[in-house]
Amino acid sequence: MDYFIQALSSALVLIANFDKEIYSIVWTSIWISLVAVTVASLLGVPLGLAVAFKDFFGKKFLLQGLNTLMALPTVVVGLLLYGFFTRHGPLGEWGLLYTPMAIIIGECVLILPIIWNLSITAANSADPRLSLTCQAMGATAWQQGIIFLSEVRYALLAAVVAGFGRAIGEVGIAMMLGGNIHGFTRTMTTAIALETSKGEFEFALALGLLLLLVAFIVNGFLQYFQRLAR
Amino acid sequence: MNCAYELSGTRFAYGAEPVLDIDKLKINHSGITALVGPNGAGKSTLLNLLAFINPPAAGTMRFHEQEVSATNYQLFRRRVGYVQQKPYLFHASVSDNIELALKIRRVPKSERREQVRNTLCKFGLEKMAGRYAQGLSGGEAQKVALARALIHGPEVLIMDEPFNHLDRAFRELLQDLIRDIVERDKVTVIFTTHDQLHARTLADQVFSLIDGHLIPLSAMNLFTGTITGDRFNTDKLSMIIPPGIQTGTRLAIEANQLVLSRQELESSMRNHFPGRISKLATENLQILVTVEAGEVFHAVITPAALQELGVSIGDTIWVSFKSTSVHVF
Repeated sequence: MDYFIQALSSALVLIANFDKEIYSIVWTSIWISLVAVTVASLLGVPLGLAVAFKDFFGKKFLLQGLNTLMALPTVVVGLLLYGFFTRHGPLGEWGLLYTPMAIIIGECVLILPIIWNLSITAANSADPRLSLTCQAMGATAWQQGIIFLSEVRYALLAAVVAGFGRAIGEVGIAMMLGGNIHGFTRTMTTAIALETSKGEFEFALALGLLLLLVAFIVNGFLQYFQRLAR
Repeated sequence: MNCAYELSGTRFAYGAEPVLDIDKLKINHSGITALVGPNGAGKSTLLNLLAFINPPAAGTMRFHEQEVSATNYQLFRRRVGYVQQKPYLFHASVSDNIELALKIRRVPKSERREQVRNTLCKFGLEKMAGRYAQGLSGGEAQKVALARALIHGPEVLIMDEPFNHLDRAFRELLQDLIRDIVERDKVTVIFTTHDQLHARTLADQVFSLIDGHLIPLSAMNLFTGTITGDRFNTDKLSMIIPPGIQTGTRLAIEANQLVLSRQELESSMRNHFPGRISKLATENLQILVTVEAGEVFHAVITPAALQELGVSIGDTIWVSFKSTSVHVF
């Protein structure tokens, strides 16, 4: 128990002293996840709204597929994309493997189904009277779209935040596609795995605590938006 | 009187299911029109047509003597204010909700602020201007929705069941407000209701909708039966109708066409039925007398007439009406 308490206090000292190494890793994690969630949102939100509003052949199958993909294992995404990005793979010439871009693409693939699916749920959660109200007020189709987005904004934000939470906490993609390169693709999760295996438990614990803090803040936002959406 | 709406041969269907079949409908400009009917009669569907939300499947429609077509639908829609039965308020403050009606019409910001301020005052909503609309009570929400529907100065105000679930004070306030905007702003008000008496006492024009068909009177006295010769027979009563009517399964009589008397009248009226008064109700200074005379009849009289008759609940009374005052369809 002494070992754990000692490690915990050392970790807190590292955090309190704004250890450059630690915060650089935290920042790498955050910006990679932010870019991934931005791209996935730009794709997932419009796709979600389109699927919610349109009836088409295979819609049920698509929804079932998206539900399944929400639980997509990160190592499977990492493995499949590794096959594409490796030197002998179809996209090998692009030199993406072991770059932040590879992690971003991987995280996009991981969280796109989450944001897409939750956007469908957000659109479906809109009050059925909303459309009639907009029409009755004389809103044009464009104005109706803007009003609709504004009305479901919290539910959509909750979808985006859920995607960010999944991206920042994943380890399989960052490890397999990023390679855990110091100062370049080392994220919080990959660094925790590495430092623990090296016996640097205090350092890993400090990162773990910060990851927990990020997860706590993200979850706080998620709950806030979900509450507002209701 | 000018017409706000003129509908001719109007049909509407949801899929293969016809829900509205109106041969002719004229709604007077700057008056109060009530559409009365049971649930599923087509009232809300007709309101959606009049609010230019759904186009009719067939027939012609004129709005203030202008032909309505698919190309100018949006423009007509903006000349109407529509308050739904359970109004939807946006996730924003009360004043933002009201202002949105002007934003949609691209009214400049400075004008919008002024108009919103005036409207808030007019409806007594100043104190709740900054309140989040989702937290309002039913009556407050109704008020905000009404303010939002009227802020842009519509020529027509359409309300779906506006008096449902309102307390007496707000019900009276709303009635006063309706009369006020009709008299002062020359707005045409159209509302739906289940309450025949209320419709009759508040509105200048009352139309009843039965299974998607329009009859130009209230259906306070509506009976189902069959025609045999010059008689319309329900299960309980046989009424004399004008000769020549051969088809129809329903008979309606306007409440003010019924004559009540303590003794059987000797007059040109051909229908006389003795009955017993089962209910007396007051609405907008008029008395609704319910008489059980085989079938149940509803007559509307003034308080002075009631006093003159000198009757109360349980008393025997005669109901008389002319055969020509019935409407068979």
